Amino acid sequence: MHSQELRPQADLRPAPALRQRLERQVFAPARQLGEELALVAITEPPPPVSILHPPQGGTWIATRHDSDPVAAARGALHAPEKEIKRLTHLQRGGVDPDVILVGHELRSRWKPGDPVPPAFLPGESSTVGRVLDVQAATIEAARGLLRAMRRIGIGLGAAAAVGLANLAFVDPFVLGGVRDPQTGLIGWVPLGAWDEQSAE
Amino acid sequence: MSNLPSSGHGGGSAFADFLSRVRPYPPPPGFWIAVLRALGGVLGLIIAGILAAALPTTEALREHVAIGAGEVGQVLEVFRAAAPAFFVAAVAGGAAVAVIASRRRLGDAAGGLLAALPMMAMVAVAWSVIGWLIVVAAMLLTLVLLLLLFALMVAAGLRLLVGDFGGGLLLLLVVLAGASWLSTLDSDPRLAENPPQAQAGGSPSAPPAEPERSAPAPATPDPALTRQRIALEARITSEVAAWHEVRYVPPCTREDRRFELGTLKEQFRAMKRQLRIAEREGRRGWFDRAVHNVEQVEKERQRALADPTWSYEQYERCPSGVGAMGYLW
Repeated sequence: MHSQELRPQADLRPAPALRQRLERQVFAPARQLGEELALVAITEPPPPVSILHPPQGGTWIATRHDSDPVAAARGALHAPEKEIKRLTHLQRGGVDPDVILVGHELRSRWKPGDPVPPAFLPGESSTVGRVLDVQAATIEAARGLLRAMRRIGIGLGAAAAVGLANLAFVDPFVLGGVRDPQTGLIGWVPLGAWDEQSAE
Repeated sequence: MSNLPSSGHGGGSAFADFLSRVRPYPPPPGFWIAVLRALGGVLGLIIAGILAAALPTTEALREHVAIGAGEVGQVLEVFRAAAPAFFVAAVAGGAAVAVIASRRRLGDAAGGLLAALPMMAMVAVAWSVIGWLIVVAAMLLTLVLLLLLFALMVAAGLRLLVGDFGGGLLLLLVVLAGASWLSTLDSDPRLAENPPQAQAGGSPSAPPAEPERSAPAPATPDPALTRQRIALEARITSEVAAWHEVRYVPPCTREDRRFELGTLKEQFRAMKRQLRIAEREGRRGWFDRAVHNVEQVEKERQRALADPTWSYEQYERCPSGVGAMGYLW
C-alpha cells in the first residue's frame, strides 16, 4: 500500500484516445439518461489502497472498490438507497468505467489493522436521537407528572444541539475511471458522493 | 506501472461488481428501541380504549351511586366517547410502526410518529383513569353517606337504650329522612322491574302496572299526555292539601306527622318531574303508575280520616301517604 495524493486538476486535456473512450463508456450513456458527468482528473493508475493523513487530522482513504478496507471492516460499502438506485440506473444505462475508486474519510488517525467505526446516515442518526429523547421524556412524565414538561423541553433542545454538532463529518465519494489505452493514464469521473455519520 | 488487469475487468464489469457489493446503510443505533417504545404506545392506546369503553353507563351507575348518578353518567359519556378514537389511533399507529420497522429507515415524519405514539398513549390512559376515578369518587360518596346513616342509627339505638327517648327518636327521624332522601334521588321508574317496598311498612295495595319499554321520543308531546299530566298535577296538589286534615293521634306524634307530610310532598314533587319527562318521551306506563299511586295515597287518607288509629292497628305505623304508595319516585 502507498500513500499518494489525488488532486483535482485545473487544466485537463485528455488525449484523443482517452477522450473517445470516455465519451463512449461514460459521457454518452449518462447523457442519454439525463445526467451530465464531467472529467475531474487524469492520473497514473492508483494503487489498490491509498492512505493520506492531512495536517488538520483524520485519515483519507482512496481505494479500488474490490480492495476497500473500510467496506471490508464494516461488512459492506454502504450508500443511501436513493444513491444505489441512481448508480444502478447509470450502470444499466450503459455507463461502464474501467475502474471504480471509492474515497473515505475517517475522523481519527487510522492505519490498516485499526478498527473502523460503523457509519450511519446523519439525518437518521439525529432523528433517532431526538425521538429517543422525546420518548424517554414521555416515559418519565408518566412516572412523575410534575417533572414532565421541564424534562421534555430540555431533552428536545439538547437533542437538536447534538444533532447539529454531528453534521460535520465524512464524505464518501465514488469515482469512475477510464484507462487511456496508449498512455495508461486514468481519466476520473465522479459518479456519486453522499454524507455519512461515523459512530466515533 | 499499471495496477489494473490489462483487460480492465477480468471479463466482468467493474461498475456491476461495485454495485453488487453496495448495501443500504443499517438503521442507526437506537432505532429498534424507538420502534419498541412506539409499539408500547400502541399497546397503551389499546388499554386506554378498553378502560374507556368499560366505564359504566348511567343505568349501571344508578345501582351503585345514590347521589348524582345522572350527572356523573353524563360526564362519563364524554369519557366513554373517546374509546373508539383510541382504538382507531392504535390500529393506525401499529400499521405505521410496522411499515417503518420493515423499511428500517427513519425520516422526520416517521420519527415524529414514533415520538408521538407514547405521548398519545399516556394522554389516553390518563383520560380513561380520570373517568374511573370519577366513578370511584361517586361510589365512595354513596358509601360514606350509607355509613353515616348506619352510624346515626346505632347512635339512636344507644340513646334509646340509655333512656333518652327524645334524642333517640330525633336521630331515628334523621335516619329515616336521610334514607328516604337517598332512595328518592335519581330514581328511574324505567329500571324498576320490582319496585322497592314502602318506607314505613308494607303496602296492602296491588302491584302497579309495568311501565312501557323505551320507545323513541316523539318530536312533540302528545296532547293527551299533556292533558293527563295537568290533571294529575292538580289532583296531586289537592291531595297534599287534604293530607293536612289527617289527625295524628298517639302513639303518633307531631314529629311523625311533620315527617310524613314532608316525605309525601317530596315524593309528589319527584312524581311531577318524572311525569314531565314521561310526557316528553311518550311513556304512558309512567302515567298509569302515577295514577295508581295517587289513588293509593287517597285511600290511605280516607281511611285515616275515618279512623286515625286504623293504620297503627293494621301495620303498626302512623298514617303515611308514602307508605301507601306501591312505588317510590
